[in-house]
Amino acid sequence: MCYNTENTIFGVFRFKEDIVMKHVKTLNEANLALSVENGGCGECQTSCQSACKTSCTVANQKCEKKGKRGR
Amino acid sequence: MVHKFDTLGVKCALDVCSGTVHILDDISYRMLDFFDEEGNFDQMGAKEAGLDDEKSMEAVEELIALKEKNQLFTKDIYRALVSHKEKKSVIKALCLHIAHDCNLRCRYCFAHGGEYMGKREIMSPEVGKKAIDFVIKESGARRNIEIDYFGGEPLMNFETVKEITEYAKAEGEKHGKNFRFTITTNGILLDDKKMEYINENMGNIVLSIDGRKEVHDKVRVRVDGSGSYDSIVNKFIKVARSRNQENYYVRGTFTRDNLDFAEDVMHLADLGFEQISVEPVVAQESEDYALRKEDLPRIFEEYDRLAEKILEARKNGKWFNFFHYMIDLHESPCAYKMLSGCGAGHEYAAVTPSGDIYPCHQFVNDPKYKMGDVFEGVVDKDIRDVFVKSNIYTKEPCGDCWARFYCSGGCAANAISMNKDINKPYLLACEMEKKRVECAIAIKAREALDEE
Repeated sequence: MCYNTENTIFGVFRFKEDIVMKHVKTLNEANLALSVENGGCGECQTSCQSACKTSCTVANQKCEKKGKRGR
Repeated sequence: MVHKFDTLGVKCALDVCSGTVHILDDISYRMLDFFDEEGNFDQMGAKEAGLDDEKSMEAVEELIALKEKNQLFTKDIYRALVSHKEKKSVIKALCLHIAHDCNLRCRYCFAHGGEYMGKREIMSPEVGKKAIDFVIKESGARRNIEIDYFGGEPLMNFETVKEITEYAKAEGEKHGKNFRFTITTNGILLDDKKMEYINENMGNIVLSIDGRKEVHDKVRVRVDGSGSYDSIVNKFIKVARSRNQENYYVRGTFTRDNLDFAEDVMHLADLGFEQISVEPVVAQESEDYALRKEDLPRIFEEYDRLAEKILEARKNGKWFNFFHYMIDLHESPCAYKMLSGCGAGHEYAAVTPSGDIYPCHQFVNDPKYKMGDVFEGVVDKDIRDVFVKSNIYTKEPCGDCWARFYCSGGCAANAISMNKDINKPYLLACEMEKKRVECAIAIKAREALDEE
């Protein structure tokens, strides 16, 4: 049986804002969704032009707007 | 979608659709199993498993808090961007096949000795200039244009490279375009004069070397069968130093014959190179050097070993970059880029010595994929559409794959050559890509933990 997390855990309603993280460390504040608004300029390098030529890795490409996307 | 993995001794959870990465302790890693795709917690399941103690519940609370901060269980909202990509896509990068000829006969070469199953020929300056005119026209409002001098071996026709470069710079100025050049070379014909011109004019140089001498010389051979390592290695070291260890790559290929490829990466690092790429060979299984499914456990082990070696070297003050472990967790490429991948056939195209246009270098001389030529200056819309309409949502295994935003659905050429369908990715490559992304993230996690 599943319970929506917005309700309760074992009958106790929790206020998440006050939680001190003891079990999880978040490594980055990335949010790909924010890039929908400020991305898409198309000025970046084509991935095959870097060192690739037989595979496709996009994650290691640089954003031309680095530092300007408001993230 | 959340992907959890335990790599290099670190437990991580990647929130696929936001790109957020969390380092988990043992209990939070375990409790993540009691959440469904939507992030709903299975309270009864946890209780039945005896995981309803205080610590487990603390971990659950933290995971729920992350969900509420849109850092866990976020939804894939990017499907709607596909039509934007299809409409706005313009050709802005060309791979110019300066020479369909080569002074090496590397066993694994997809260009088959530089000829691409066609005839030996070199590009004339006129064809190169037409290609520049073509990309200026096609690139619309895009300012940055990429030109990659490729082959065969482009240094066999270097005067043409120079003539095209000067023409592109002049025309770029007239049309408000910023041309960025890359050259890929095996190094045999590299000399100080060429190096000087390349350093002055090209933003990137890719230097082909496979690693250890015995590995390199077994595959990268001259016409007479002799190895090429000794002829190139010192020149490559000089190039790297002359570019202050930036804006270049030494780029190798590993095959079934060197599944201990971490040794090749470390050999290159020991030679002083700081920008290193060593990639898996792509070849049909009929070739004895081709990678096979049964090699994957060994390859995964080797990627782990390589990651540990990189971490150890960096701890000891020796920094170098491995191309496939590069990942910017704070400012990755935008969602549009993550959907468009390499852009073959609609953002990127290859031009042969005679001026024919193909979706990318790997399709050259396959008549089914000839898109046009630089003289007519138009591309076949039907072929372009095949490429522009293919994305992570049209490729069946990608929609459910946690790594889809990192590879953008993989290499179109590999999918077609291995599975005859652009929407059927080459799964062996997928498995290796996933392993590399896990290692790349785990390296960041380990470095973050070490800093504490």
